[in-house]
Amino acid sequence: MVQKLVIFPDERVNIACTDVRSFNQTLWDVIEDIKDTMIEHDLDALAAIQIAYPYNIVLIREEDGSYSEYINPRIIGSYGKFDSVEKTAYYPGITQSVPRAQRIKMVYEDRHGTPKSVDIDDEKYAATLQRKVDYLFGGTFLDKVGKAHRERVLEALKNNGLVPEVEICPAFSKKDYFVSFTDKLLFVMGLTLVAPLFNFSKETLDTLYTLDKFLLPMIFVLMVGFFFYAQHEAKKYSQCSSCQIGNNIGVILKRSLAGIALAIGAYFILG
Amino acid sequence: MARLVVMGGGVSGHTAATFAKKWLGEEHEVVVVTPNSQWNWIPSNIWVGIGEMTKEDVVFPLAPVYQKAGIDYRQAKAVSINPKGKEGSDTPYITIEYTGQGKEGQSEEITYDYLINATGPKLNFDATPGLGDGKGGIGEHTVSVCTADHAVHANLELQQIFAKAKAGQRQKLVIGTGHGMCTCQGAAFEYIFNIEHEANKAGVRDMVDIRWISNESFLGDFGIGGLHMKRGGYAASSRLFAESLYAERGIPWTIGAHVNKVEEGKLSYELLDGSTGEMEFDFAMLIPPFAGVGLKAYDKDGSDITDQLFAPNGFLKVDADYTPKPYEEWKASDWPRTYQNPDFKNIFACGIAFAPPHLISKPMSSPNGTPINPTPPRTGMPSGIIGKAVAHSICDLIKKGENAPLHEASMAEMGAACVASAGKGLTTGTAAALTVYPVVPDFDKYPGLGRDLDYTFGEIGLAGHWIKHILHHMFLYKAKLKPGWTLIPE
Repeated sequence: MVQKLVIFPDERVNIACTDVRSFNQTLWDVIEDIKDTMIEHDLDALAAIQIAYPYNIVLIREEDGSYSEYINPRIIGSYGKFDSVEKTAYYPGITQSVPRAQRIKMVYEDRHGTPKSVDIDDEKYAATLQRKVDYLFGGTFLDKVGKAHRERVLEALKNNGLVPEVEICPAFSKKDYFVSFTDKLLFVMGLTLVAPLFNFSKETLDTLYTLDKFLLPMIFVLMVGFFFYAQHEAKKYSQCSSCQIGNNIGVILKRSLAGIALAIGAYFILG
Repeated sequence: MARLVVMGGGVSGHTAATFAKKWLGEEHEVVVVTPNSQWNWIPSNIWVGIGEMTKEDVVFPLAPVYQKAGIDYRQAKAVSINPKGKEGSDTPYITIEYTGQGKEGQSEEITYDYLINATGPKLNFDATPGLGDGKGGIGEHTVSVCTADHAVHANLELQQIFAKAKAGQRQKLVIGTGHGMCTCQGAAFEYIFNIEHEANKAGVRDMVDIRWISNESFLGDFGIGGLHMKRGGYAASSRLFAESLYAERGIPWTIGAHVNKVEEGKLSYELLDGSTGEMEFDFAMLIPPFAGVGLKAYDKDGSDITDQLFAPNGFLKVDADYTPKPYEEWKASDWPRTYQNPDFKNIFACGIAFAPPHLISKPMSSPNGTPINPTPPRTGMPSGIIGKAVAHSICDLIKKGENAPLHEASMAEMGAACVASAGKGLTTGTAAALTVYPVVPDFDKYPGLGRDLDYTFGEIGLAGHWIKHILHHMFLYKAKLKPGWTLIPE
């Protein structure tokens, strides 16, 4: 059955596909779907992910009209280099020069799971296979070119009306309440450190030190709360870079370290 | 008073022994048997191997640390286990052979109530002709960074190579794995990029040809079927980032390779397609395959029961499902949860010493039947977590009775963070920081990749290098049991 092609800006091509583990009718049906889609769109090669099936399957149409099936392909040898001028169904209307190996050595399995290998000497065929295998690992030919090239292609796609959907990243989210409150507590901790500059009584300074001892664990608790809430938000805003775990850890580390530094200062100055 | 004996004092054994002693206190005894007098933070050996750290930076003597902790330390290697005791006594015991403490060569029997096997691996250099010296040690043709001493030797050789390159002699360097069944590709990955970085610093990069050879079927497999880098709502494979890094640094690669012979200045290999080849080198760092350390097990009457206790590769059998199954039937539930031996409930294993049920990466072999695939890593973070869980279980068994529930730490429910250095330097360093959850893919829970993308993260840059350097100091601090050591995660 002809399936809908995955076309830019559909981000499903970024999926790292998984190996086919069962060689049965389900696989053969997918192979037929890929073949039907290739015929419908007059394509010479197609990876399963290009019809949104995230498994390691590539089909190539040979010169004699037959179809070669490569299941779980791995390129284990690349020899020579050349600039391959390529087109791909994912980026309609785009032609791109991509550095590719001239010859490749590949192992794969057939539709029954029998291991096979092939040496490809034809550079055009080798380039096609390299492009399709890249799709299986979540990459397109734009991963192989420089940033300037990539931007030119994206601009051209935009001019063709293919604009990536921009997920609106919230300028302020509820997790920022945790950060804002933590910052206020840190500010208060900082203020207590300058208290000895004024003529406060010893009792007042002791009270401020006790307050610092209370504020530090509060900051830790807030940061734990921030982490779990931020994780919840990260699922909602998958494309928001400030929502990703690395940034969240950075926020937590910065404030925790500041809290510890201020607590150490309080120990020496007020304690 | 119960006695817990821990065989091995590496990352996993040291973690298990120190936590067990902390939890058990003075009422019970913890004995550590390890042939080494020093503890080694192995992830930093790669920096010793390029001369950016000394051996002393990555090791410290174990005796004072164990003395402070109240752990009975025996510098000895474990030779055999008698889990049922011997004639006239039902008390299980192990036999050890001293390698230090003035008792070198002496044998002794140590009885135990609970036993942890954390011996780590035997570096099986002899599995590849020419890689070993025929006596279990490293051969003369290559170097290794698996131990601190190996890394010191590797650096001496490397500096000679750089000196020759400076003198105008073109040099060939090969880094990777020395057998089709190796694990620890990550260490070789870090070493090759650190060498490339050092060659640049030394101004000899244009005079050294650096090549990668490994048993991975794709770059960035690392023995766990690859890691993933988040892109938008999806995750691309570590192959993309690895290939760009190799291409950017001008390092060609040969993968799907089983190195089957090493000679002076030359290695031979077989590829996954059955073809063969040779590679010449002036310097080669090849990681050896791992095997069990060769412990024997004996029944009460002295008969050999090694096969009952250990898998054929020499690793201890635990609560995994070892039924041979085809790849399509592998499940996350095959992996062990408590690391308890099914026959002897007072024996546990942690770290590399436990026998995994099967590979994590896709099993592959050449048409000649030679298996060429990375074996599962059980090092670093998972080995520490498993060591702590095993110690916790044993402490509960001792304190709460033999029906106490065991603590679990399945690699199919555990995440891991990996920081791989690609060059050392306060302002010029680079490292890739990646997280993966779970380590063993669970295809039922997470259809497709088998991994949870919410916990997938990957970045490469200078900050990664700083993290790696901070971890070096943090884990050495923890292992020395300095104040607050229990607060530092595994």
